[in-house]
Amino acid sequence: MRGFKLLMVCLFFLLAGCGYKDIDKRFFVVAIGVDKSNSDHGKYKITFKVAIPPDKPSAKSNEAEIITTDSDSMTEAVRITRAQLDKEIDFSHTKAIIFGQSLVQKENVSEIIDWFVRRRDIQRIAYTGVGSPTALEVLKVRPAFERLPGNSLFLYFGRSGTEAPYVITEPLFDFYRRIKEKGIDPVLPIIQAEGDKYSILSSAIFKNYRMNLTLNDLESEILNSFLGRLKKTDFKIQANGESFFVFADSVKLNYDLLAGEKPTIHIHCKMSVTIEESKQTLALEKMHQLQILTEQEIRKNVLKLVKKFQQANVDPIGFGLRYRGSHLNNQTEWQKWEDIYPEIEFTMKAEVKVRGTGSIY
Amino acid sequence: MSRFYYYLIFLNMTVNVVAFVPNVLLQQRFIGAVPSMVIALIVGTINAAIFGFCINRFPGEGLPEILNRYVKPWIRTLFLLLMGVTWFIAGIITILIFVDVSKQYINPEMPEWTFLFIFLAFVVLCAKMPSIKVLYLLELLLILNLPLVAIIFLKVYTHPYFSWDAVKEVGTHALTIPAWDSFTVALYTFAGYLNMVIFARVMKDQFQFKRGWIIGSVAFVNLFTTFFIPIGLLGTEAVGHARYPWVMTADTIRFDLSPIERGIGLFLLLYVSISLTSALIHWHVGLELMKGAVNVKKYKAKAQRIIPWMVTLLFCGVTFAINELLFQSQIRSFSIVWYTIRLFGEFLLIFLLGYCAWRRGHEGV
Amino acid sequence: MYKSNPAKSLLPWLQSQLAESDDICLQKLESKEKKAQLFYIKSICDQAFIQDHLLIPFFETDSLHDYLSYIDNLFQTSSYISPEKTLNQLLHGSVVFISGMNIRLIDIRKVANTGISEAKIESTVQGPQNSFSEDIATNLNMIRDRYYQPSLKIENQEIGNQAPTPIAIIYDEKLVDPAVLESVNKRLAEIQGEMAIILSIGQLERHLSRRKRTMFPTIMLTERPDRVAYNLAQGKIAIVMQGNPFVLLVPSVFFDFMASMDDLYHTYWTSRFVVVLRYLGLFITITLPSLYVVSTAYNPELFRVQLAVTIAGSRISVPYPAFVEVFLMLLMMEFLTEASLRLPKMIGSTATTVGGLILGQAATEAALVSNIMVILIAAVAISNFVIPINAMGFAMRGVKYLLLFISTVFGMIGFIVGLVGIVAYLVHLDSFGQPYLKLFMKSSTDQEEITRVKEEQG
Repeated sequence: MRGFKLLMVCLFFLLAGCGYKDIDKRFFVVAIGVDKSNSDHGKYKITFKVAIPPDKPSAKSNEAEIITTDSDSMTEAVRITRAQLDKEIDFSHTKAIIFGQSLVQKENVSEIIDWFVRRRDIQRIAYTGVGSPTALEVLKVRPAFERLPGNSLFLYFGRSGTEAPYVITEPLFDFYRRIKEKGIDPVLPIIQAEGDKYSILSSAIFKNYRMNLTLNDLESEILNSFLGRLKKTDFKIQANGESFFVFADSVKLNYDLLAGEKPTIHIHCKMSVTIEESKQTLALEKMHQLQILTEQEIRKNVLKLVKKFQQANVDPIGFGLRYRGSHLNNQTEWQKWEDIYPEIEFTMKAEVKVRGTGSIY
Repeated sequence: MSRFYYYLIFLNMTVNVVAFVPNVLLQQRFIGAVPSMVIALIVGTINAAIFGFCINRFPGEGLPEILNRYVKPWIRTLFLLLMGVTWFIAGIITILIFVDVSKQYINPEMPEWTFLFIFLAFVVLCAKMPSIKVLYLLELLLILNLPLVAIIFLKVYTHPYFSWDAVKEVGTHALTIPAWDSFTVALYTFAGYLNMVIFARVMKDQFQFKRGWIIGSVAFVNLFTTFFIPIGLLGTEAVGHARYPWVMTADTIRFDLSPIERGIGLFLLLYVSISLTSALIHWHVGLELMKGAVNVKKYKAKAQRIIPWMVTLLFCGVTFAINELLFQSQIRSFSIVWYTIRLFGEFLLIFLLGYCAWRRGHEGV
Repeated sequence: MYKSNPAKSLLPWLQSQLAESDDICLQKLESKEKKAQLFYIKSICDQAFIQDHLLIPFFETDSLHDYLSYIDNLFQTSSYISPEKTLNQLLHGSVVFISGMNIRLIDIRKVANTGISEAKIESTVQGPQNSFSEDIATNLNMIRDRYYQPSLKIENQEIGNQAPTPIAIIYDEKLVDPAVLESVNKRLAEIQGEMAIILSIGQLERHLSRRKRTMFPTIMLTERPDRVAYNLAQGKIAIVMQGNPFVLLVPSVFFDFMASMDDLYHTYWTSRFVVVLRYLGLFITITLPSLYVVSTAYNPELFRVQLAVTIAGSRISVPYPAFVEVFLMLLMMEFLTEASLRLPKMIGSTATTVGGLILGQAATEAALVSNIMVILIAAVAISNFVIPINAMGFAMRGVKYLLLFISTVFGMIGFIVGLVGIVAYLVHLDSFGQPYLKLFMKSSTDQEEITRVKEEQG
């Protein structure tokens, strides 16, 4: 009996333990890039950035292996890549998914995204973005101040590092949601590779699964505040020959859908700012004037942006979803919204509170 | 009744966050899930109250003892056997979902039988503990898991990407015709109180109607969270593509400052221990009902020891068989059928218990 | 043996029973018309007492009658009952006094180890510093001196059917749970029938707990009088044994083993903080090795990427899998702990230096283990010593291997099921009818009892 038990235990030990694979026997893919391929091997040029672990923890090492394959699908690309590596390829730390600019401009992005959301091991909180000029170029960037491969990119998007106001952080789950959802369109940051640095200033709006519109830094910044992801920012105000910069430490940009004869979207903005930089000395009496100038400037920029969206018939803010959520005619509401949107009117009220002029007047 | 009553209800609600309940509800999000949940909320709370009222009449007694006195022996045996099987299947469904989720998200390379083995080993060994010990274990595990529940709750409600517009959009579908499947699964989230058929034996205090609102409000928060949070985070369309919407939802959580970055890790940790506890409770109640059905006390001491083993091992075999024979999608349909059967079982049980309480009231006068 | 005159036959009978030992002493006294014999074992008797209170009065009194009445008035004196009883008393340090027809037994036991030393095992910072001695009378004195209650009851018994050892069962008659008391008495009676000799209280503990093979202690062994007093006030039963500086406390549950007496002596928030630390330490010591294996070999996605890459880098030159690495290092740590326990204090520190510093450093340099591993093992070792009662600390040392094994085989699932399984096992245990692990065990009465003990200690 005892022998039998012992045998069982031994058998168990042999049979179980499947999936045991030490961490040093795995290659971590930290970023995946998808470009449009020019060769005839496949539609896509898929790039994996594989982290090479440092020998000593203290050593500076952002060495990475860049592996590129041409194939028609992600699965094939993984299979080809596996043949080139001596360790198991592991996607559980893939934190950045970059699509090449030429790809998203021409191809349907919902086909390639299927693999990413279907796989269990791809993080749904991975950052997505558009690589310019190509995803490969972006993955190749190795900033001098980077300690781990790809870390610099993660710091850009994760809020624990830089808090640049024009960087739109788009996790995979949100990108996928916007692709599928009626009434809100996907938006991705555009990552520019410049030598050994990244530059993330602009962003891309998608319509019908393709890149449709590009936003500059100021527009991205306003969009970011619309999405409620922006807490701190600065603006340049230039009017009436005066020119100064304000720093906003709290930005609330919101909107109401007003139904009725003439559907209107009323945008209201609350902001509390301090003066960051000014060409002139600022007298206390002029405070009120500064406030009005700022309000006008913000109003002008915001309205310009939403009208740009309207003209291009894109909706990254989600006006359509708000409309759907506030109307009970579920069968017809979407059709109706599509008719309304091109003609809808925008009004805007900006409330700015100037809290101070900094350390000097 | 004592705090254990609330633990049992709370456990059943928590464990169903992972199971097919959100899946079924979210599949029918545009065709009747919302009104079904409202009805289930009312019916479930009333059921729990009636049940509490009836079981109050029999302090310190479980269902087998109550039926023993007031109904014919063959009805009693048949009913207890059926109820026992129902409870065992409840445990089996939890186990099967556990195996599927584990293989999907925790350890894809491990064969399914290893998950089944380790899970069943735990459940079988623990289900044979005395009822009071099972309750102690339940209390301990729930309280250990409470911080995890709180963190996940906090994280999803304060999620920066949470879209209330999506929630409202699904909310505007409230005026549709209720869907039967949604109703049965939503009602199942209440079913924790039914475990009292056995645990009433070891609970001294009476059920208090004053505290009935606790059940209702907790159930409301639970159903709301189960249903609307995945919609707000995954979107009204994309949520329908998810097999386990809550696992996906948990994967949208990022802990910026903790060494564990992904919320899914914490969620799976919570889920494994909660489903272990739930399966254990269900099998314990099932086993006690079976023991009541065959009147185990009549037998010799040796037989009394062997019968629980036989029953649990039999159901282990059933679990393995179901896991082998059915596909993932078939397991889903199987559980949806079971939710309906269980619903009638619940009403039958309340009816029988009400009858016994009525008989007792007449005797007493 | 003549019934009429046991005095004559007693001495030869005793001598025949005893082995010829040099410390057996037969002293013949003669003064005036008085004649007497003293028979005793020198090594366990108080020689000075014989000199001062037996010999000198013998020569100073006038008649045998006077002397006998003097002896009868000594409170150590008892009268003769039977030869077997006499032999027993002789062995426990009595003098047999024989004069003509008169036999008296005078208990002049001399105990060498009555010294009270400082508590070494369960030391506290602010509490009482002394521990029990090896003498039962001294220990009883110490307990009475901390627990001034009229309801305190002491029952003397003997255990072991061949060489009985005195034990005392102590409890507060008003507070004790009669069911627990009955089961303790029943169990003691069973042991009395089974065991020839019981030498140490640890042995008694093992036989008292009904389960033959168990991992977790269900009976507490303590060297602190204040802990005994505190537990008596909670209605527990203490068992004291001759020749042992430890006292048994039944029933003892899980939380008792995680409590230090300091918790009562510190300020409220300090003691809460320390208690939280302790449970954190317990959690770390049993889970850290398994978590390492699980998260490096099965689920590396648990960490953030920065940490994962660093760990992968530090493990790159290690030639064996993570679980072997963990197991080897844990084993080294256990050897170190065991070695420093057994070694004399002077050498002990050398062992830890050589083992801890040099070995750890060299092992990482030689790339036999990763440097993260060394940190981890150190954390496991240190946090294990946070558990205040050694018995529980030793049990937890074993538990972590169990968890390590199951997590190595089954991965993350194994780890969680193992952890929940350990909790379930603890819940399933009993200590003399008391559930071993249960939340809210002592809710309302707890604070009252603490204040009561504090008042009594002044």
